[in-house]
Amino acid sequence: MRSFVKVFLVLFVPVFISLMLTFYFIHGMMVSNARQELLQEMRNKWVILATQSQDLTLNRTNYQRLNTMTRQTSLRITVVDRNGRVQLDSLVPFTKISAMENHKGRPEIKDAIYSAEGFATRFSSTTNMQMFYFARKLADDQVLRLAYPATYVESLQKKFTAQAFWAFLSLSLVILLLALYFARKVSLPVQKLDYIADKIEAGKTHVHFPRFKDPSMAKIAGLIYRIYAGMQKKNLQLARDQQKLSHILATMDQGVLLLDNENRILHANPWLEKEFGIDFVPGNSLFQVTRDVHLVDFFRGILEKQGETNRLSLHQEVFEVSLKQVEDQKLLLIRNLTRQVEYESFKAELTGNISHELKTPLSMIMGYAETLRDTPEIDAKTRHRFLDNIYGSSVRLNNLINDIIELHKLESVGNQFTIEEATSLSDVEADLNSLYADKKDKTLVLNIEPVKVQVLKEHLQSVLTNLIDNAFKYSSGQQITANLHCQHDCLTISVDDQGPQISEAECKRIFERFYTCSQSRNKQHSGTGLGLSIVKHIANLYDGTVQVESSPEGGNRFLVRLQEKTT
Amino acid sequence: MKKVEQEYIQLKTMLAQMCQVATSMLQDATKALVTRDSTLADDVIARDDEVDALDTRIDEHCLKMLALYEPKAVDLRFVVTALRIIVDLERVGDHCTNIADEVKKLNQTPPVKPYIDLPKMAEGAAAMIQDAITAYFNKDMDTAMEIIRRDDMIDALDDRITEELLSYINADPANTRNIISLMFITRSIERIADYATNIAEMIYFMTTGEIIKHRLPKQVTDG
Repeated sequence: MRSFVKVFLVLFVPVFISLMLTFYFIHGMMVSNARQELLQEMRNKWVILATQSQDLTLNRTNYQRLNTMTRQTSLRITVVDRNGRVQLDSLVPFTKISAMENHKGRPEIKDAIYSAEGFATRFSSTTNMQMFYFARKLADDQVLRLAYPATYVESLQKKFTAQAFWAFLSLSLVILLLALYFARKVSLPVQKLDYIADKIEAGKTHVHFPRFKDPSMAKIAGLIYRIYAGMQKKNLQLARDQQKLSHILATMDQGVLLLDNENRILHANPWLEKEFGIDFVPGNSLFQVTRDVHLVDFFRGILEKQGETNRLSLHQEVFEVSLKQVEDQKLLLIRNLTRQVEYESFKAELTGNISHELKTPLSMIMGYAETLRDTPEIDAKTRHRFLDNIYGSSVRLNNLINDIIELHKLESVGNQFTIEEATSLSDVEADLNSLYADKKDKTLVLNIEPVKVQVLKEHLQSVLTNLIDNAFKYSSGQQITANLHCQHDCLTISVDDQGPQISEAECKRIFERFYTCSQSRNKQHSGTGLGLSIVKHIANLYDGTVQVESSPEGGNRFLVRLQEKTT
Repeated sequence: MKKVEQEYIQLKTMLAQMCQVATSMLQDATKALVTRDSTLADDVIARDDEVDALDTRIDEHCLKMLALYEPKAVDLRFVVTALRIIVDLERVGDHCTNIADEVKKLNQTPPVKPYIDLPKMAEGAAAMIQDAITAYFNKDMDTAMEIIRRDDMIDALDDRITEELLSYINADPANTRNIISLMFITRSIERIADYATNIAEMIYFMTTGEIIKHRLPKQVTDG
């Protein structure tokens, strides 16, 4: 709308002003032309009068003649002598002529006396109207003045002004209409472009492009449309790419942190938030969001070592961190290596344990056998002791190999086994009693519910013997209690000893293969380190659990729960 | 980012670094005692230079901040508190150097006793220092008060260890030299915990503008 008003004013105002000026000048010219014409006529009349009327002296005859002329033509005739005294006036009554005031001060008279001819227009108090005066010197130094009412010029002026006014008004109207039309024609495309610009700026996805009649405007609008459509397509593509990228970053199993040169966060993937428990708000400085002294120093350490891959620890966890400078941004990749490091140390320990378990009996066998071979003179008693040791070591080796085979069997069988006959717990009790009948140093108390369970007998025996064997080996107490009872298809086995208690740290690890409590390593009755691992495996076969807790008597309680097989 | 914000961030990172170096000195000095590792003790002594260098750097940085930015109210107290914290952290470093020296002496003779409470006490003191600096970053008054209360636990451990060490002297006067070394170590750790309490008191001052030094923390918590 503003552009419309602007264009309209630009078109209308100058034309209107020039029109007004033209009319003003034409009006002035017409009036002055009329005056000139009147002057010329007065001059002619004067010549006629001056040449026709030889006698202009003051007498009644002359007065009568002129008075008649005045009444018929409304031309007033005055004769003034050189000193300005009125000699004769055709309009003033004869008797009053001599009393008339001196006319030397009148401009036309003055001009006539000094430069032969004078001319003036003014209001006459004698006739009470606007008069036109013309005066000229006669031959006898007198001045003959003619006066005529200016009504002719005035009426001419009035008539012309009225006409000019109407002409001006109608022309202005035409110009106004034309200006309105052109202003609309010019400003409409601009308004349409303005509308498009507004919509695009407001970020509307679908902008209606109006039709343009003007070809060049249509070209411009077409260009805008193409650019805008291309831009929208690019934006969409960009948004999709961004989404893809953030999906990838979100699913990554490592932290990705992008910082600018002032360590402000540009991007942080969700892994970081989960791992470090702080909100990495983009736009904030990394050290504004980190509030913990460990974290502040952790990130400071990372940022100080540029372009390297480092292992840093934080709160007992190990992280592998690499920092790359990409133009004016820093890219931090952080990986949690704690599991890997733990696994590495576990593997090293496992290898150590296996070789220890295998080599100890073997080297004992080799050592005693070598001594026996190289020393034939050895006495019978010592020889017997040596052979006993060799036998003991080979039994241990055999047990170890049997355990490994059993474990392997459990692993490879998995859940693919069938129970043909339910196991009677009374039978199991009888077996256990006969098995541990020769143990004299500790007493075994069995509380077994006399029911039948859907558990393979060899599995049940393996669990019980492993747990009870361990209790006999490691407990310093006098009594070992084993409880078996069955409830809602769940068989609960618990074996209690009387201490010493296993430390909490070791409780977590005793079900690992070849792990034996550190203090027990050097004792005579060291096991294979596989017993509890077998127990755990069997529990897994029956969707059960194993756990160790401290017993009310201050010892350890091993608790195994097995779900009976339904088939 | 405004220049002044960067300056605060730099102060924060330098202070975190100083705190971590000082506490790692304490942890490693204790580790050197338990594992009888004199090389580690030497390493601890060498690390004191790092703490001293950081002390100087932070000192200059704080003075620069005061001169250039003329901080007001809590910002002013933040900078001033930093200036005072580094004094304490520097003293922590010195105590750790002393501990490492004693450890080296102890390692020349067979161990007197197994160390159980001493590492626990050192770990507690180190955690107090670290938590105090974290509380300083967060202007966290509650943690500061909690740290002040934790000092009682360290004091109790100190009493217990000292009693036990005295009983060792009675049992075997030949061990007196080693026992005195261990007493020095215990006392140093106790002092370090006191520095943590000091820092916590300064944090209270920083957040509230109120000085609670030389008063019982109970009065403050109740009031």
